[in-house]
Amino acid sequence: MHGISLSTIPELVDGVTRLAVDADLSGTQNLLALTDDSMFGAGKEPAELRKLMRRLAARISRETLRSDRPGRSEDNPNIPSGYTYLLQFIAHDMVNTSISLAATAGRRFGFQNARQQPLTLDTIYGGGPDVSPQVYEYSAQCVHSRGLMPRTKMRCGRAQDRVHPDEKMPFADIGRAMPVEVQDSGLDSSPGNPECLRTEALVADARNDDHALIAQVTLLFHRMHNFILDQLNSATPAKTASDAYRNLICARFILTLLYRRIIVKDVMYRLLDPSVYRYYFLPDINSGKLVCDPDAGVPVEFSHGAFRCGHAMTRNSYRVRDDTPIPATRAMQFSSRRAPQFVPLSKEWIVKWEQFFEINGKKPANLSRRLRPDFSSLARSEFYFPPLLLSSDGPGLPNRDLVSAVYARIWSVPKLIDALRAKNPELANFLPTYQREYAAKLTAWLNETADPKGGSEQFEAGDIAAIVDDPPLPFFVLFEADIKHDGQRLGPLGSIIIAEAIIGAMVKSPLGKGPFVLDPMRLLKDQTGEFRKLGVDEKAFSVISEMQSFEDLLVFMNAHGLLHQG
Amino acid sequence: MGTSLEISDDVLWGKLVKSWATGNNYIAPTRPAPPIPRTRDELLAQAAEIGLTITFPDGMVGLEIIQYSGETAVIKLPPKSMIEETEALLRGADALYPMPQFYEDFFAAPLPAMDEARRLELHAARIGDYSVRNCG
Repeated sequence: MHGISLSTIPELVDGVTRLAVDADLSGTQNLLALTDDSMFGAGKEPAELRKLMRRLAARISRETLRSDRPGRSEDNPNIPSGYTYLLQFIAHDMVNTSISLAATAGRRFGFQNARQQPLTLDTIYGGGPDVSPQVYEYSAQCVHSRGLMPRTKMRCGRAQDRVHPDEKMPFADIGRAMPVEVQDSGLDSSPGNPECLRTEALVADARNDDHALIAQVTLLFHRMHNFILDQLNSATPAKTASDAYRNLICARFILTLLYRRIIVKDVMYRLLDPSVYRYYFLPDINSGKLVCDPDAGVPVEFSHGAFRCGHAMTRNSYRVRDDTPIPATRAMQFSSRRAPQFVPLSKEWIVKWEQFFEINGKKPANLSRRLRPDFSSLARSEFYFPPLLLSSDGPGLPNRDLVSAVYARIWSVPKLIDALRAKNPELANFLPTYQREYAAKLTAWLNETADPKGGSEQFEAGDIAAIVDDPPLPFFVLFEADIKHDGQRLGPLGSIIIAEAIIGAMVKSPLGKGPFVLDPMRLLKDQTGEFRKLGVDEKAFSVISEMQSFEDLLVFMNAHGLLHQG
Repeated sequence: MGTSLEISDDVLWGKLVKSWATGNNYIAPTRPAPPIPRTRDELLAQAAEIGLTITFPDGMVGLEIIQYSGETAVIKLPPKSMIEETEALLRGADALYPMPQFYEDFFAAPLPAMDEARRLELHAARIGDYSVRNCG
């Protein structure tokens, strides 16, 4: 939930030799109160556990050996690929930690979840135009008012055509800027021939510039915000700065309401175990059933466990605009922060969304990979995800996620299952005991692909028993999904953790304050009275549809010309 | 299957080749080096065992692995048909030179657009290079 590479600090000299429960999780919490002996890796030397995680990651890589079994498809018909990146976007809107626990070997110096208002689209609005002005258009109104009128529309940037660089491409990328006459040692500032690179992504959250696809999702939200703002400005013109702020804030409320509804009715519906979904989300959001305390922050079992499942959903290639597959590694090139030589986005990566989401009943070309302990070559790539500690780690995101679990002070899986069943007997109806349901199957899975003569790293004596006794949560969530639903959706434990975190975030940060409160589950047209309290004319809502899914959003945006803007 | 040989991870593939050539395991240094495969099935099994996927183009059924000494000049000639196919591709109006992506990634710079003549020159230079280059 942090940046891919630059948001880490080096390992500290005196590495942690024993981990204990930490009462101060700095904006995060444990799903349930944790004791030392219920923690993942309790009693083990973290450095040795870290090496065990490397051997488990090697086993996960060998899943390739099983990939050509008859009937074993990697495509997930339940979750098109667009959701992979919508989930990444949601992760950015839930958690923003400054460092990777895997990189700091568990030392929490500087560790903080800076996302204080989860699921309010902080990830695109940032601190608003006065704190995050780079996100917002430098408008004519702003110019003519000597800067007294705030910037309120969001930036979109022009894409490029590499073959015909002079051709004007549409504003189909996030905004990107090049610093001029700055003392950056990475830029050649020779007089008369300065190097001009778009090193700055004009977004609120730099992680939304990690690769082409997350940037394209971000662009959708920028465009939708601008559309809603146009409706508000048209119905209730902003004549003063105060009006302009009001319309900006109202646009944010409306977009966040729609976004939350899509999360509940579409994203969670697809991702979660059906029993868990019914329990937490039907007929309405059942916040009274939460076992965690929403005010204490996002559970680490979510941020460093269950929600890492998205990493397994990335594909090796995508059909972005037509039937030609493009390696997913190409998407990684488009990042102002990492590789400004490649941006802006080239036209091959201007996403046709019907390729990534099911629209009007038509199956998209790109389905996500099934939720299994089996990752794309991009996720396992040493080039993109080198070992954080050469002496201990292997390459790839799976290994990083496992190492993060070592240091995050998260619950041990079997003990968490027992604790949840004890805390709320209703959960026991669909959350089976670990020993009965999983232990034997996990033992068999770990033994598969073992080869004493193999060139890849193999388990050592006692490893398999140790993992079966106490599997790391990010791995178990995928294993559970495979066992329970053939990888098409998460199993009960992963689903409970995510439901708790998502509902907890919505409870912690309600849409409104005092007499002004919005409910994402109610129709927008039934809540226009709330906006009237703020002086907004109802006409502003006349064209905004009551969307329930990301498909609805895309259909709406397409109907209003928002997907293909010149 | 497709029209070109695809390898899912260039770095991992290079480590496998170095392991065969040197007898040292570059992938998991504590493990024995994998033996040089003699058949395509052996190659695919070894690759999968380290998490690597290799996809051969339609019709490519054989496998030949050549190891030579430093005293022998080896010139590897690519098939005539493959050269001609690539030349046809490079003559396309909006063609981009199909340089392996890792060059761009390691040098952090995209390959510039080139006219047809430059693309064919680069093609010739690259064929000449990999017909004689040994390592490095």
